[in-house]
Amino acid sequence: MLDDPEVQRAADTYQLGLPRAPMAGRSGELLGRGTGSSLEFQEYREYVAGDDIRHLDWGAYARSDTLMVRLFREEISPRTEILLDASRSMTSGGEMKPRLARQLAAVFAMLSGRLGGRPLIVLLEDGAAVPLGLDAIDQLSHLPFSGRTTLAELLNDHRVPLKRQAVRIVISDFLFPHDPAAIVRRLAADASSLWLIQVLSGWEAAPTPLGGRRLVDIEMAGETDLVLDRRAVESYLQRLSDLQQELLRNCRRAHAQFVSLVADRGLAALCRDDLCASGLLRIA
Amino acid sequence: MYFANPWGLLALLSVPTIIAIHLYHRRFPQLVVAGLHLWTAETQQHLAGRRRERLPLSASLIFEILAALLLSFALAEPQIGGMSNAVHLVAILDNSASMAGRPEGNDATSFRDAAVAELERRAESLPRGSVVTLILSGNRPVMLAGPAVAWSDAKTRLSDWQPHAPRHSFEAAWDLGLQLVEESGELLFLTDHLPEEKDTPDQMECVSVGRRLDNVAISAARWAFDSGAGRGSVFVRVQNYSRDAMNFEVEARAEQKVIFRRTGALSGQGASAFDVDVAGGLRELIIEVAAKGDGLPTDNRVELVEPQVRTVTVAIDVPQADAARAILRVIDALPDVELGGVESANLVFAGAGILPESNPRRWWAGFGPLSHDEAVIEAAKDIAGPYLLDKRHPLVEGVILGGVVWGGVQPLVYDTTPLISSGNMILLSRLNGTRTVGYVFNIDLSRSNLPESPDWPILLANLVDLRRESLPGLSRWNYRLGEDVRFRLFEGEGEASAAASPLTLLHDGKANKMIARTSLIELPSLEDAGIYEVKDEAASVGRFAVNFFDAEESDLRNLVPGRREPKARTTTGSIALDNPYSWATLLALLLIVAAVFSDWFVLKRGA
Repeated sequence: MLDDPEVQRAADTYQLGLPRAPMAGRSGELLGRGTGSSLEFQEYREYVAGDDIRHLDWGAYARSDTLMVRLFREEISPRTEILLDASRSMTSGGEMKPRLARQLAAVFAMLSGRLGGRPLIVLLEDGAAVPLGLDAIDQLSHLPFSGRTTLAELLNDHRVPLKRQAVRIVISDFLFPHDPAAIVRRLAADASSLWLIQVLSGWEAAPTPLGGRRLVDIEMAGETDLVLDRRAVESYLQRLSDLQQELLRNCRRAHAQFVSLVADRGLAALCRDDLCASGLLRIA
Repeated sequence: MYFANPWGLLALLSVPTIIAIHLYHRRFPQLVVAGLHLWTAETQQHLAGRRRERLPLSASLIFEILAALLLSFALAEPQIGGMSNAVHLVAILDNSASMAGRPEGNDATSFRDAAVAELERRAESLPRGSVVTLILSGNRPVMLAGPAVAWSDAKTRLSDWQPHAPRHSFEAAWDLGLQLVEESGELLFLTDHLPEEKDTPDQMECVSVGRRLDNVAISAARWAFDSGAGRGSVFVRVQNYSRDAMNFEVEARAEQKVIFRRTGALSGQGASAFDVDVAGGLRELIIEVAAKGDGLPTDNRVELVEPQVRTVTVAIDVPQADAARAILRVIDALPDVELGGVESANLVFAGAGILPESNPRRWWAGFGPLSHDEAVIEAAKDIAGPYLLDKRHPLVEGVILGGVVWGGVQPLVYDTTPLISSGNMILLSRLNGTRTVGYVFNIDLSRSNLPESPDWPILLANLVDLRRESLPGLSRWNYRLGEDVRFRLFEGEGEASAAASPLTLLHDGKANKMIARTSLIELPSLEDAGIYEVKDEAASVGRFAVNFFDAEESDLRNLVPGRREPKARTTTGSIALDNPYSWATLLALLLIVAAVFSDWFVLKRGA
């Protein structure tokens, strides 16, 4: 994944947009790469319009007759936990969905690593969750997404090792039967902050009528014969919207963030628009 | 209910086939999705797939099985009704012309209509599922409807029936009816007079719808033509077939123009005949008689075709002058005969000493002496009888030879068939072994008194008439109904080339039948009155008329209504009515269409 130009471009362009108020625990144990609000001085630079005038160094101005601002190291949480749904459902709808999932996990891990944190990618596969460090990030390229166990089942079975006080980023399509309140509550527990990122394929986000089809659930192996007409599509979209709204509502309740991404738009567009708009990324 | 075609039930095998298809056939293409639970159950279709599953009772399955069941039902041809009570009614209809008799009065029904009404009454009272066969009597019985068809079909055919045949025997029609009715069913004979009880089959019921009627008929009509005068003569005889005196009026028309009209009175059972001279060139005459109280219109009208002149060209090439004069004397007196050269003549009179060359278009009559050798002539015999005549041959018709001395008879060395002989001497014979029609008169006219006898002109006239009849074309132009029409198309024997198209016989202007192109055309027993024309493509070969003259059919005085029950009842058996269009079948076909359409609609919605 380190060779992926899109990932590299995103890692160079953005930095993690950490929450202003952590949900729990201490913050500031780790200094971020960018400027921030910590008390540790980093460097001076010339004032540009828009800088916080509270950071102007009046002494330096007196000495050099140049307006200088003091930059402080950014404070970030010491651990970033990226939970990547590695089940089969992540492969439905074409190659874009799993590709984006891999790219997001890699970008978040790299951004977290550049801040000096200890990012950990947790692959939510069948059986036990598999943690990957930053040095093993290239293994994401070969991630088969072959699991049949849903995130909800893994959480219920306590097979996901959740670290305390970690910044937790969950990448999944959330297209499995679950109770949004329960799953958000479980993921938010002991997390410094929580981001839920829903990755959908283009057809999953906006299906078109296809006529009679035998729908096969890629993960649950259930089958049903449906007529995918306009009415069925509208009904599906309503249910998907209800799911997203419920996740969003529960995330707000838990001071977490929820963002839904359509994989077909590509990593660059999603980072620029959706992830920046949601505050998960910001331009470095 | 029973099935006329039980093998059709084999189509029920399609039902398990359809079920198997629904069990194993995947109708919808597969689509792999995540989050199946987000797709609502509102549009869910319960269809089976290749994996064996519980059979879903979908609308498509129900409609398809319904269509298969109905199709099997229809193929089996279900017949609704009491099969055990069905009857086969074989009705024989008297097709003789007297059945067209109609009593006087506007509201009176003809015998034919009364017979139809009786038949309708009988047929409509039959049990459901019964079948009917209708036979028209005649010299050759005709099956008007059937065998064994539904009454509705037979009734349609019955409307076209118009009795017109001359007197004939009913036995052929009865025999046909007995064959059809077999051991079961009913045999009914509808006529206008009850036949003798001893003549009718025991199983047959006879119903007579006739009654006594007065009738005036044209019993004879002829048209002769005098080629010398260029005028014709029409003979008409009108017969009264009633006991009372009747007045009549006869009118003859040619192309709407009245040629002559005669009125008169006929005594009871009396007749009146008259000759009328008519101009030549009228071509056709329609003669009709009208009389108050006339019961039968069929015999009130005749159509006559003007006879044509058929001239025979004769050549006299006899060495003896006295013999030639004797022949010429008769030939001069015969009508429609002209003298010509030997090469162009139709009939050549010549000396019998030299036989003619073979020519199918040449007739030859050779007169003796056969040998001119003095000794032979000296030894020739003069015979005064008795004579043995072959009366079947038309040449000697009317010949008696009373007091005739047949002189100069020499021994005959030719291969001939004797027509007149005396002892072992052949006097007149037909020449064999040649295509020429030749007759050898073994006679020396100078030693015989035959030229002075009445038989001489008869013999020569017969010979000329025979020759005339053998000429191409019609020899008669007016015939009776049922009479054979025979004429020669061309001289000689055999058939025309295979490439030649057949002739066409037209009846009253409509094509009636095709006729093979042979030398001798025979049209046996024409059964419809009217004008006939034989055409060779666009050219007319000849026109002739066929008319109804039948005194027995015209006499309606002995007709009486009546009924005679069959002496032996047949056992009513079961009749299978294989009507593929029974209402049950039609209903099944309609439901099939509805089921198939519904299945199509359901599948179209699901596609």
